[in-house]
Amino acid sequence: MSLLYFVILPLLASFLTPFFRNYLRYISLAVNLMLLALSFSFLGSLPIRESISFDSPLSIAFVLDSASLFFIVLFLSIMTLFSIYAIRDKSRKDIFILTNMLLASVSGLVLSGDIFNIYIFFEIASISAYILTSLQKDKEAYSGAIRYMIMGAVASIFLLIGIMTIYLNLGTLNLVTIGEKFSTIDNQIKSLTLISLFIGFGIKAEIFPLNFWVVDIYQASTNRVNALFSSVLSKAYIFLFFHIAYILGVNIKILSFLAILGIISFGVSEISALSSKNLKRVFAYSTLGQIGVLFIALSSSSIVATTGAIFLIALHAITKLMLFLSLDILEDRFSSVNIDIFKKFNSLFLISIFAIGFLSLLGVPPFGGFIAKLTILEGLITKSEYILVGAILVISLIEAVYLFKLLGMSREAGEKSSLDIPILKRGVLSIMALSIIYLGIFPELFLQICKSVALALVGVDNV
Amino acid sequence: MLDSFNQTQFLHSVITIGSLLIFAIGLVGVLIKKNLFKIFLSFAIIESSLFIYFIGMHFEVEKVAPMLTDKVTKFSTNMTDPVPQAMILTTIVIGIAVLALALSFIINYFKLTNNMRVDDMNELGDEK
Repeated sequence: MSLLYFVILPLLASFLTPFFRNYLRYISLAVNLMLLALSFSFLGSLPIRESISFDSPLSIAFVLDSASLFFIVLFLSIMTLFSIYAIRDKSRKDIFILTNMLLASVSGLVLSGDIFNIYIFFEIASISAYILTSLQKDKEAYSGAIRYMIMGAVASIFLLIGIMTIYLNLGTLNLVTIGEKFSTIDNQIKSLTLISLFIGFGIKAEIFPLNFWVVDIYQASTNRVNALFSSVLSKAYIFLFFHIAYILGVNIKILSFLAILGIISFGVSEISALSSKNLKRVFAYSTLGQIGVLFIALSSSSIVATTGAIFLIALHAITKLMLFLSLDILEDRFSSVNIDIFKKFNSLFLISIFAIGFLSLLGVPPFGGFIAKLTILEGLITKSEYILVGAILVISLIEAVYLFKLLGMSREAGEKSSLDIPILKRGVLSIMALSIIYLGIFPELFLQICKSVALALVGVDNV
Repeated sequence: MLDSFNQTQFLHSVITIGSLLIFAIGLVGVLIKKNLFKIFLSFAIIESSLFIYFIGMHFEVEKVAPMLTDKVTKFSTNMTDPVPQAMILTTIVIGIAVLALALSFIINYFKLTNNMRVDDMNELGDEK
């Protein structure tokens, strides 16, 4: 079976929409499940390199190693859960055209073995993200989409400059060849390339100081779209950022610079979340904070911390999907996202979902977040990065303040209205909550998987 | 005398200076213009300067365009490098699509708010 199916099938499903508009949601679910089965069939034969060639210099290279397979399975599982959650809503079915495009492009991003294809998938992902942002068609949505497009244009120009300098100096676009030859380039051109690629990918990976626009985009989009942005799109770009960084063989100075950016990112976003009154913004700040932690862990060049980071990526994707979809239920009921809505509902189910999500974000046992943070801290301690360890622990306390404030509000007395949650949505949310608890209690198998992913991502010689 | 203008080296320097100028025009536009339409137009100008530079740097006087026909079925050494041309063609198409999408957003935004200035876009923020 060809790796191209991961890109072609979702694109086909979204482009054939005019012919079966009413069945699109079932078809997307079927495509997701089919691709999930396909991705498991590749398990035994990793790594796979596939080159689709037209004529000698023009070809498309796809690489499937355990890292990209892990991310593909993660994205497909998220998309499957999302499709099941949204399958009964007849009014909002157009979203599936764009989610399929998003799925095709993020699969392409993690599979590409060629930096120009990465640029193309980067643009496809951006285009679908712009339209997803504008889905509500009100002035907030268009304002957010225009901001997003301005930042996207800056990112794509810098990325293009980086790719062009690489091609002008090395004469190749293949990532493996670039990795072999990159150290031979002149130092000044090397730093120009690295800075361009850092700005290009950094804007999309949402790292401080390039993340000031992100919260506005989350505020402008619907909760379902935010769920996908937070759990699929940002994760794909973080993978890509460090994939490219390790291929280019960045040195220890740059990695420690990235760790400092990560700590600032974590601190600034958690402090900003304290004062925010809009739940979409609070969750967006929390996402930015977790991205900061991921940057700290992934730039530590310790295999244990990287394992923890991969664990956190998967766990945070599930947690944020769950939290944003629960917020979606609340916004449907109260048509507001002010933090006051936490006082207004009376549903033990939804409160426990929020509690599991928040406690897992904080890293409280027995939830999965505890294992992730513990592994990251363990890795940092073996590298004697005590300042980073201390900073993560202190900032987690700030995170605890606003998350417990929200949970406390839900127990306050006052007028409460009950919520009617359809059984399908209950089922999807429960699956996610149970998997968070499962990963917290029985993490061994998943940690082993994460370790092989970390080895594939960092590369054995970089450890 | 005109032969001295038809040298790869000379043409490359002309293209470098020219594309730098176009890049500067676009950069100034992005930084000082407040009209949303003009900002996106400036981004398009910056992109086109990159296209000109990239294609121009792979232009060489003695070589022919890398086009395959019925008679020429293989890329050969007397052709310029086909990869940049394929890349830039793709990038131009993407650029047009993104610009068109941006314009449609701006038109819709203008219809709703009667505003096209980037510094008056205050719909989003913590108080809202």
